[in-house]
Amino acid sequence: MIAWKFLEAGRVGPFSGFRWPVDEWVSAPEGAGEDRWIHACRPSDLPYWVPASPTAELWRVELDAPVVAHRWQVASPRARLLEPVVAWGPAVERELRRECSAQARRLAAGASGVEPAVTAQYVQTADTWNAGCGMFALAQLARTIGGDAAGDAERARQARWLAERLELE
Amino acid sequence: MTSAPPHLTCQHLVELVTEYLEGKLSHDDRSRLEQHLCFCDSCVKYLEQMRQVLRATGRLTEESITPEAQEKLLDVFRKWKAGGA
Amino acid sequence: MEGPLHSPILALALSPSLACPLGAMFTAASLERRTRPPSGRCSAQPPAKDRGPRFSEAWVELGSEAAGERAGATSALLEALRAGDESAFLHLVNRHQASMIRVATLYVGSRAAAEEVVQEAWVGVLKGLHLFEGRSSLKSWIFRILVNTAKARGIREARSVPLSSLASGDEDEAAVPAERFQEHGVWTGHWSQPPSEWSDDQVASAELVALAREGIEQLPPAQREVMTLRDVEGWEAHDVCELLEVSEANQRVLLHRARSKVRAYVEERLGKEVRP
Repeated sequence: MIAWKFLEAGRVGPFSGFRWPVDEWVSAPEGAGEDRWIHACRPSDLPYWVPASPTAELWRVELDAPVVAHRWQVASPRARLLEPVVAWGPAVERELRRECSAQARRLAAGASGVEPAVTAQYVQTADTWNAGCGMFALAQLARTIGGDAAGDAERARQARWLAERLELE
Repeated sequence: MTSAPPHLTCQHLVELVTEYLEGKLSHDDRSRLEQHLCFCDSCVKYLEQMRQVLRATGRLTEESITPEAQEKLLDVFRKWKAGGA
Repeated sequence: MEGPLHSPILALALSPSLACPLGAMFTAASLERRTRPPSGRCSAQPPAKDRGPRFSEAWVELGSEAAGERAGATSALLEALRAGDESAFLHLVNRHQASMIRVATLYVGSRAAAEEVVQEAWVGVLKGLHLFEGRSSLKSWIFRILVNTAKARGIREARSVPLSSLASGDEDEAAVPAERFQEHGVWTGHWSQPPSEWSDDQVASAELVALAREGIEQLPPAQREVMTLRDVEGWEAHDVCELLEVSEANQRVLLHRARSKVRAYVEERLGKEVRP
């Protein structure tokens, strides 16, 4: 299965510290439980994992069977990096931040029943912080306005934006 | 009173750090925590500091047993041996 | 939160393996603690940064260590001890001595008293060797004798050391004081006063080690016991629970409070430094 994975500069796993080789199969340790497996994102998962670092990398990866689906990621005991998503970088992150600011204002404008003082805080977050934080704030704002369904819809919108902008299949 | 939709706050995270390191968080809780770390540099710093403290505590100064102490203990051992079974 | 590069998360510190002068019977290869993860099918390279393994790799290392401890190495050692092999005894002594003195100090305070306690404990170990059935690890068993010896002595000397009790008097302590977090608005519970910056110099220096040790010394007894055994001595949770006779959950609570306090202590002390 094809999936995507954010890594720190130099192909380093942000939580494992593992430096990934390119195009070489990597396995979880022998007999490791599922929590030690390799995690990756479906396109719908990407918004949750956008890293703050301007030097972060996004890689297209291949996961070997079995692939277990979790709420915000998929996991497999064996995977390999295929190629970097070159579209991901500081320029896209800046675009994403501007998009977050714009979306925050759109949501706030349609937020009847929510105090302006509340929406203003989310707009400020989207204006000030990194893209990952901004997107989290947007989901919180959407959830405040329209409950969980609206929050999920906002996340889905973010995922579509990323998939389109990054030309993921 | 403004109450935000429930989510993992930094204040929660610092209470979950030990469970996280011990691998005792549920899969979803661990996910939420790691997602938070993706965008919260302050919490990243907190964890980094915790790691640095643990690394420091684990740095043992080599204390080799003194020859005198070793002799004393060998004495103990020989006496025990001689005492039979 | 533009700022420093997104940092790697965390490493679990492990004690380095202690060098043991070995007699003819045992070789370093058979008895040295395994501190590298098994290679398996993984073509993993060592961690990219010099920060030690992350939590996941640390689990593997801890697992290997436990397996090594409980494997045939122990029974070979036991046989040799029972047969009166001095080199086996010396191997065991050198492996645990420093650690035993540190642990004994938790109960009796002075190094001199601790050394005597350890001596007494070894006598107890040898005398009880024929009774050891292998239900616990040899290390646990030795340290149980040590702790019992130390506690008995502690009581005799009327040193008031609350025995492994959970009642530290701080039932509601938070890892970080509430005032460090926002108390109003949509981001209630997020940092208002984030952790202060520690310079690379401060982190690399022996000062951090000293401060961490000071922090541990100031912990309430039960928390100090757990953190000393887990983080200073590098014991597995299972062995600590066995020795202190607490549940895994309780051990974790104590460890959490201890680590949080020590980090806070270090932060406070580093913050008070006068920088040139």
